[in-house]
Amino acid sequence: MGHYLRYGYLFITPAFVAITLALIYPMLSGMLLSLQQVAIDFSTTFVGLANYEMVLANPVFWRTLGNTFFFATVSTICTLGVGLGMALLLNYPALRMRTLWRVLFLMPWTISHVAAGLGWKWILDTLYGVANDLLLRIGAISEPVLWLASRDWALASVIVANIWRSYPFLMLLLLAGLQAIPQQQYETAAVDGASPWRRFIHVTLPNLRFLIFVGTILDFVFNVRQFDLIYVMTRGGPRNATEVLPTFVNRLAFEFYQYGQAAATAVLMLVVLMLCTIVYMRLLKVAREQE
Amino acid sequence: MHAIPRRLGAMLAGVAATALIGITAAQAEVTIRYMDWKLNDSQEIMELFEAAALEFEEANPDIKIELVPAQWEQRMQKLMTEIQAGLPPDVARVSVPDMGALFPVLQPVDTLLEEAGALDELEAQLSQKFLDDNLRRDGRLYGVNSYISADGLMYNKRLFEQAGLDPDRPPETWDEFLDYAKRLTNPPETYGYAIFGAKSGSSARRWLRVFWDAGCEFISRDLTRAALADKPECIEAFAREIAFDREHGVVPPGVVNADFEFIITAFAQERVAMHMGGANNAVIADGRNPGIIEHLALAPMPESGATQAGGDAFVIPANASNPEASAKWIAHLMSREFNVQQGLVGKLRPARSDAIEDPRIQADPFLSFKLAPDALHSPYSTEKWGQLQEALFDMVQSALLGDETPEEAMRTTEAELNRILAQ
Repeated sequence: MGHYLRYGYLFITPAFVAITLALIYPMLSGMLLSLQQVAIDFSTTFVGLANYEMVLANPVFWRTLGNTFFFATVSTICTLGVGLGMALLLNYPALRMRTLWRVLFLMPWTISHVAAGLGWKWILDTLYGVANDLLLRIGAISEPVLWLASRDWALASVIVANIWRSYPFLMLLLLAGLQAIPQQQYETAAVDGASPWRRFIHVTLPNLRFLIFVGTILDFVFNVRQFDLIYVMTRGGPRNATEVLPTFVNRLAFEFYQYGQAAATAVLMLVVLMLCTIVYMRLLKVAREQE
Repeated sequence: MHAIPRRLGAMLAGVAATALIGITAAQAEVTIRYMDWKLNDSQEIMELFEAAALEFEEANPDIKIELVPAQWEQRMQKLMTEIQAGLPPDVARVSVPDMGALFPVLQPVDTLLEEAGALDELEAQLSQKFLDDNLRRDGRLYGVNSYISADGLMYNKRLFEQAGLDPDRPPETWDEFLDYAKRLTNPPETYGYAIFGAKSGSSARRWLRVFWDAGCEFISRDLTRAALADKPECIEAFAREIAFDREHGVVPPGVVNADFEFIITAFAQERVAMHMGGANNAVIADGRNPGIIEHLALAPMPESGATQAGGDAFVIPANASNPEASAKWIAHLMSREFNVQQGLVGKLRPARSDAIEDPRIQADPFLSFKLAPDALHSPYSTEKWGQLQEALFDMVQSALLGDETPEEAMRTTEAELNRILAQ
């Protein structure tokens, strides 16, 4: 037994070292930095929780936190809707050229966030954007919409771009789930006279419940961490309308040179994500028990 | 019997000697990493620097040059991260507004340039005021500049002609400017004037011009208090700029998102007739729409013509490993001929006075553009500039979005600036 145990430790050592170097060391280093004031020449002074106090007293932080949750929640819900819709479409038995559609629907996922952000920035451009041009041509609008230049539209615009970039992940996950549902369940429901809608509610959704749950939680965490797309499209503007925690951390560190406050904000973000993960683990356990 | 080991021994000794020579040679050779955002400006600029590096390497066989392009927007993030990581570039080109934050992490270059035999010549050729305002601290010189740019009114002569305006007579007063802008505006195709409403360093220097233009400062020169609303003229100047968008409609829609990229593209495609820009904007516009440069011109902004004496600095990080070789490379880049070549290729007004006098520079309509020395202002040299700039853009965007009147926005910002400066 001891012999096997030694081998066990030996085998997990590379993974342990990699995780320590890539995750634990930066995390501890960031936590330490959050308790220090870092001068412009990178000399440090221990300041206790002063950085946290300053961050929590900053109204932009609270606005950013609100934006982050709004962005993540709406993105996740809409991504689930689009992903499920696309998965159902791809699973539709009468669909022709299935492989072609699968490739096309997967395309957004193959594009980097930065490239997607740049593409959407041009699509929504007030002067050159194809979105305004199209809407003006069909008479849906009488003057260009300020998609990224007004507080009313900017957050909605980055959410749409994010949904477009993210839905294939949930689509793939749910498509795999749909294909695993035994056909007999649908046939039995049809024999019992269930309409397509009732079959969807009583057969499809219960079978997908676990995957929907896993997918939405993961997508939510991805969305809370979203940086590239927003930074490229709006840089958090106008007037912090699209500022989220990752862009705020970037600004504190690399525009204001307030590394301590940036680290404190990142630690607070970590706490938020850890709370989300704990809730996720608990709910996952419940969902598994119900399976 | 002994011949093989003896031969083997001789071979091993030969291999060891060769390796030792190789190691010694490798140790003697120094590689200078040179970071510069200008390398991304155009292929021609890159080729110019590649040629300069080759020439330098021929003259200094023990020094190799590695050119490291940086993105303009990410230049400071890249530089600071590399310095903090202990792997800084040996030489970097920075923009003068960056210097306020950089002084503590740079090493003085005066002694190094003196050792390289270039200091006296450069002190004689460069503007002492520019060096004192931007690059000298506590009597030590922390960088030398290769160009001094002054933004002016960059305009499209062809659009002037189409609007029935004299292309050789740009507006001289603000009333005239508004009249021109209205006549040049034909939405949604063309707009008279572009305002830099998106947050960025290049936008900030254009907004500072609004205050300087009215004889005001954004913050006091001793960096202790806000000064942007000291006089009624300051508020009037800011309100005038906002009104171009909100009242007169001569600015393209979506102004709060209008960054340099957006404006230079619109200008290159003749969707915008006038904007505030430097000589190099003509080259960048021409890169997007080849041939357009023939229709562009540069003139002073109306009335005072106030603008920022923008420029660059070649600097050496404090923790860079090869300062002596770095100083030699800087001296090479600061030579008269390279200063002229950089000016001609990049449309960057040479910093050296003997380079400005060069007939090739004088023959260039963009590079011969000059402003009165009292119209040139230096940026505010403080490590808090990032926060102050944030407050500036909050004010600008608040007024542009109509959240506050220009005066209200200025009053709100005044309090915020004083808070930042008091920290």
